[in-house]
Amino acid sequence: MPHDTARAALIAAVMAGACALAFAMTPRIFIADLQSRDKFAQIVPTRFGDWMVDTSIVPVAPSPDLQKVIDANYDETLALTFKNSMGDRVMLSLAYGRNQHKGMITHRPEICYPAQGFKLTTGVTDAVVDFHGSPIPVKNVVAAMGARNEPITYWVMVGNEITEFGYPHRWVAIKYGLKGEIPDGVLVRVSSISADSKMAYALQAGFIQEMLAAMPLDKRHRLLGSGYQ
Amino acid sequence: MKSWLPLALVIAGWLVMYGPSYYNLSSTIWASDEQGHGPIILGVSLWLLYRKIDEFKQLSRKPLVLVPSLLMLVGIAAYTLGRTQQIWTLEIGSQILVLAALLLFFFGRAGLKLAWFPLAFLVFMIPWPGDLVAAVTSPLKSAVSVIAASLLYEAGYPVGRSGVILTVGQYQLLVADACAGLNSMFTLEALGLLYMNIMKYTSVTRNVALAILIIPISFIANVVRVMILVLVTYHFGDEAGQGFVHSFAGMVLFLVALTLILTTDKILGLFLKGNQHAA
Repeated sequence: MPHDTARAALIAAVMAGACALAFAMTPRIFIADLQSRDKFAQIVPTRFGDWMVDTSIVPVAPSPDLQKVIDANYDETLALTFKNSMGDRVMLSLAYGRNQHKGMITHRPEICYPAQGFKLTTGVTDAVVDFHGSPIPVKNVVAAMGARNEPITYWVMVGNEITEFGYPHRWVAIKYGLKGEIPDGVLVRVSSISADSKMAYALQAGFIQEMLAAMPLDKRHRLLGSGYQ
Repeated sequence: MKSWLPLALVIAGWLVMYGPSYYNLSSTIWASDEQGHGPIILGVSLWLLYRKIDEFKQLSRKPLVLVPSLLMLVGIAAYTLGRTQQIWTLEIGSQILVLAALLLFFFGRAGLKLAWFPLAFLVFMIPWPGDLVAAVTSPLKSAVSVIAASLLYEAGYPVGRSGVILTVGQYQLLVADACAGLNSMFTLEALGLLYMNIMKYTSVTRNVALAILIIPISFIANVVRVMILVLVTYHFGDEAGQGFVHSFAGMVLFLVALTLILTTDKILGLFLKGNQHAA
């Protein structure tokens, strides 16, 4: 019996140690606190190339219910409509989440559009937007509601790298987490209303290239990660 | 001699290790529809262990060191990774490794053998990754709504279906996750296994057959649940339907499944006559 008690005491101590270890290793450092984080409005130029912010279109304010969801999920959002000299319009939407530890905080467009009554008329496909010879891996998906056909190009950056939703996103968060850090994340979404998805994607790619090119390097890194020049 | 002291120490260690996990679970996923059965599974496992306390006392003990130490190490690694990185599957799953290690530490292999069922039963309280659950359940979900819709249509109801959305009369119903999820499947499978464990059948065939048949049974129970939901909505309106979902749907699912399990077991008993209870 004394033997048992000694063994039990040792095991109980090990179990308490496991609890202490987990506590000590829990990530607490927000990388958003380590690096400077400009507001989106200071990052995105209001005028670049052939594009300028279309102030005639005030984005429809989300319903109070939806606003609650947005506030709960994002720490900062920016939605702007741009137009060019040809009269094309492109919508840019940026969302920022300080805490990506748990992974699913920036919402996937393929989930948030249907939640607002849109139907996805295509699956989510991989695409590439070339930027100065470095390919940016993006996702394409088409959302439709009634006659409104809205092709979407988006990407998501967690910490300092572009990743994908789901497990890749989680994996990046875990890589930071094992260092005791909590990464932040940015969702960049560009869309336009057009019946011709192919043309819309080309328009959006051009918009993305011109917007990024017009940004200073450090601001560009906030949307792409420092892997890009 | 204080024979309760080792047990008390181990329980204290367990509570220090998993108490915070249970606390976090109770305010997150245990409060959700999908994992609401978690605490029940835990309670049942504890109860099953407690029932065996006399058998444990009479066990001829051959405590081990090496194997349980390794199990404990892996368990703690899974626990730490899960807890720090918020991976519930690892954090909760590690309980099985740690408990197995404890049994081996104090009783040896005989202890593990005696407690294999409550140990394995804990599998049902592990939350599986959402993407995995979605991949398994979405075909099931559509199958449930297809069958429920066609049965009602055959019965003359104006039922239409697009994906997992059912239309009945002027109402639209979404066959939600909780309706046909892996979760209800899991809960029912757990229920069936528990039933088998309590009945103590000696026949392997009977046990395996019942365990496999529980899968279609929980599927049928889900179809019945969706059909009742549609009928309540059609005859008594949307509000009554939603009321049904939130109050009685789970109960109906449970009762239908239990009735089917008992009936199936009776039928199996007819075919596998030689296998009486090991009373």
